[in-house]
Amino acid sequence: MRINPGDSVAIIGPSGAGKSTLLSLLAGLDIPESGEILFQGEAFSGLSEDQRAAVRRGRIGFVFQSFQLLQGLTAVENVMLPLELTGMSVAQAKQRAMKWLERVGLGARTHHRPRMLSGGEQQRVALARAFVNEPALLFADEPTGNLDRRTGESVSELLFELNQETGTTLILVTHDERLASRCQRILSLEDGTLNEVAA
Amino acid sequence: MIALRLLWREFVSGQLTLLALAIVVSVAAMTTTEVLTDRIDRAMRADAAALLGGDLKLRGPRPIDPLWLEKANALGVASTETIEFPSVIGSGSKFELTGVKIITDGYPLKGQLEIADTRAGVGYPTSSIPTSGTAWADPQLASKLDIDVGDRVSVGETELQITQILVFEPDRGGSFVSLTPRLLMNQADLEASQLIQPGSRVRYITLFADGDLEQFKAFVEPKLDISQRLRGVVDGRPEVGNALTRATTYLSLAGLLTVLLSGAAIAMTANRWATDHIADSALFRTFGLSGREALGIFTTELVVLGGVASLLGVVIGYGLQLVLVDTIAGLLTISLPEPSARPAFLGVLTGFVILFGFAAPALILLANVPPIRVFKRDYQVSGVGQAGRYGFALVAIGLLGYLYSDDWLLTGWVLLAVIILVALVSLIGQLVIRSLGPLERVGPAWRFGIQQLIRDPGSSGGQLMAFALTALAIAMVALIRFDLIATWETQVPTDAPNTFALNITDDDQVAFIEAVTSRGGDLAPLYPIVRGRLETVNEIPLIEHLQGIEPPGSVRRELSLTESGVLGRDNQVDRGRFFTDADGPGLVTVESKLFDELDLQLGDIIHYTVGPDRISAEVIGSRVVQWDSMLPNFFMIFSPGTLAPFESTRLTSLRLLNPAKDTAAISGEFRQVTLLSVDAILNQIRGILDRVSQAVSVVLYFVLVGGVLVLAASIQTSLPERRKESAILRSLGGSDRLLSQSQWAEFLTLGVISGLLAAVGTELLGWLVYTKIFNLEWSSKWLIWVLAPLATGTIVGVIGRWSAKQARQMPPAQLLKIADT
Repeated sequence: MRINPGDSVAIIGPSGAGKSTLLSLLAGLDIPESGEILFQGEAFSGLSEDQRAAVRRGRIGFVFQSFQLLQGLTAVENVMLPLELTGMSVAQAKQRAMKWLERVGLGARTHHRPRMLSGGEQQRVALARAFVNEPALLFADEPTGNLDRRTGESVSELLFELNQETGTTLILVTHDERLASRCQRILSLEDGTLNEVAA
Repeated sequence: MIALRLLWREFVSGQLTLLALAIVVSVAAMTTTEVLTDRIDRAMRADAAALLGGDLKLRGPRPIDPLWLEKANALGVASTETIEFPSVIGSGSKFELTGVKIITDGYPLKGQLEIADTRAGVGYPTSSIPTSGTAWADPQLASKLDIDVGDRVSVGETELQITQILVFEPDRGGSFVSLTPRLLMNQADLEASQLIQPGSRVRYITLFADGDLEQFKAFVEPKLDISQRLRGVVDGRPEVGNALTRATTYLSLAGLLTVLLSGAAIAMTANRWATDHIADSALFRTFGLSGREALGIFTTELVVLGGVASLLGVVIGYGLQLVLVDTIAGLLTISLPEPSARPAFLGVLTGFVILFGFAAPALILLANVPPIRVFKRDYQVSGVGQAGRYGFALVAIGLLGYLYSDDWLLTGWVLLAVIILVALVSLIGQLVIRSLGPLERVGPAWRFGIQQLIRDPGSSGGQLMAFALTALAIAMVALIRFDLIATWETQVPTDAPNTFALNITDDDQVAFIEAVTSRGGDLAPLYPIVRGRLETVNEIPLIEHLQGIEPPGSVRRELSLTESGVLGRDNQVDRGRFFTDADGPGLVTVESKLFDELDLQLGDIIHYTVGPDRISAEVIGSRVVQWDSMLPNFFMIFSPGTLAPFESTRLTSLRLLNPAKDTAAISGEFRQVTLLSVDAILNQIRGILDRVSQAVSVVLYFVLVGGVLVLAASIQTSLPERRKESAILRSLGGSDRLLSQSQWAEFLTLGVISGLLAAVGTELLGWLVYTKIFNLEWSSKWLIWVLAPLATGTIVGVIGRWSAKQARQMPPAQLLKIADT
């Protein structure tokens, strides 16, 4: 399987098929027992946990089903995290994070903590965090799974909008066929085999 | 049933381990200290009673009311009567004013008399008393009359044979100021001597011991008239009583601190436990249980856990106490009384009070979970507010404090200190955390670590408070253990005098000093002694001056007066000044307490009569005197030259290397000099201090264990959150090294600040405890400012780093599987 820069790919399949496992392998969060995963020509296997983290830094973004924001930090501080990890100064990081929060429509809630935000708002913060360092590759794991339908739709709308603007490669894992159908390619994972459903 | 099953499952899975451990440790700590304190306290009181001759002492000018003796008898209180009065005792052509003491079988009730077979003999304890027709003279009387065992003395209208030399009398007291010679005789000879006549100055003293003393005291106290005085162990012997009161106060204080630390650990773990059970509670509600019923399930779970853990704690406490008593037993001069059941009951009670006081907010949170929470996981559950949390905890602390110390004042001070400290630590902590910005420049890891602190002041402030208060508690207990006891010990220095020397004449002075120093002994200065009676203040007779208030005992009789140009090292001027070289005769400094009792003012003129003559002197200062220093001390010290016209003998205290041998040799050389051994009293005081040190060390270990629990609890409860944070940061590309270093920076900073806050707290609390509770002077302890930040920085840093390593063990891939936020 090969995914080209700028592609948007949906991975669908029933619960327990191994979608999340595949995703964590693709993102280098885990390494496969057999086979090889190359990111921009570099193999993940053979790299240590730290080396894989270094590969991810600044180049890969995540959106999780359950948002995974740091509860102790404000919205803007959460968005600043990936930038600060690359060594950017606080002032610069803050400026960029504010810009992105405005972009996702949360310009007025930058200093709220996650628990004071609704689910939809939290996921928007997560989107801002995912895009803030303009990653080459973005992984989204059931990004609307914890949201009601209307909120989910507006979040996915935003996700694809940002994806187009930045030209990021998107790999999306979902149950939701409507969401999957918005991607250029759909892969189905079932009984351990991956099939291209539509392109 | 559900509750028990849940309890079992959770216990097996380890969710309740720390909570159970916190209860077990706090109950074990409290039980051990309580049993030990109780037993040591009783042992020390018994020891001190031996120095009073009984547990209670009633003194008055008339024989005791027979009804009182009946009451004592009914309450199982033993009693014995003694009579004391001054009388002139004669032998040949010599006569001496002597304090005669009449005793009966049974005297003394506590402690023992010590006697010697000859004037130069070595003393040994005895439980007999002089038989009819005989009397025992003390060394002073023997040397003044130049008599020895076998000689006869005239006592009033009768003659008695001296059969022993009286070396030590338990109830004589440690004050050597107004020592008069002593004769001990049997009551059977009283009538024949016809010593007591109407108008005689007689003191009737009844000693009481054992039985229901509290009730007896309550019976007698309201019936006392102004001339009668009832004294117990604590108030009867100030030098021993002080040590006792301080020791027990210290132990209860340390016990309270252990409760506080355990409470903090319980509060943290219980809160975590409740948060983990919000979903379960919501589920119960969807099954149709009311909030009250859901609460019932969780409460039952805690009650059973608390009960089992408390019992385990009590068992451990008693066991540990046994081991400790074994190791301490060798140091004790008398055996400890058996432990009572009270501490066991207290222990279980402690377990519940502490568990529910600190876990109640967690339970209330669980009762408030609405069923909707099952579907909406981000639904906020409102629990008890901040004020409520602290309120519950304070009530629990107050209750326990009172249970253990029986002292509202102490409990009140501790509560107040806790409130102020918590407020202060959180306030300063927030300020310090907010001003950490510059540290971010140290490096990227530091920047990240410090930002974690600054950005989440709620959580870092909470941790800071936990660490700082733990460090404070440990610093306080350690400080008191090492500093306070050192302070006491310097009050009874190892080179304290062990012998008093009286009646040294001017002619013998030089030879006497030579005799002592040639045997390797040390002497305090030699003070000239003139005996006189206080007559007037500003030419107004004493009785009028005091406006009918009974003058203190020390001025109702003749008092030993001295003069000196040098202030003793155990004296401190608290008003006015001491003499300088420029001062001539005619000035006086007065002991501080007597100064107040006599209602004196600086500049007052007092008059003493010495025989047919008068001394007048102006009061220019007052001195605080440390009576237990075993050095010669005086109520009145005149400026040099004032007593020159009067004939005087000299008094001093000595430290002899071999007291028994040296005393015999020196008194053989100087027949008229009286040597009195004070070793017995000195050893008594040292023994008490030794025991206190032992007990106090034990308590220190418990406070340390409490501190470890708090650290463990704060780390365990924050671990799930930290795990997730580490995983998120790593999914975003943070390296293990960066995370590890930033967490090291974060914890190191937290630790150092906690240490500094603890140092601030120690200064405040130390001042409070020293001045308000122990009546000692407080001086700033610079070592704390160095040690506390260093130690807490290292410990918190290392433990934090270790826990962060645990946190980093969660693979980021796990994030994809955590559905809960």
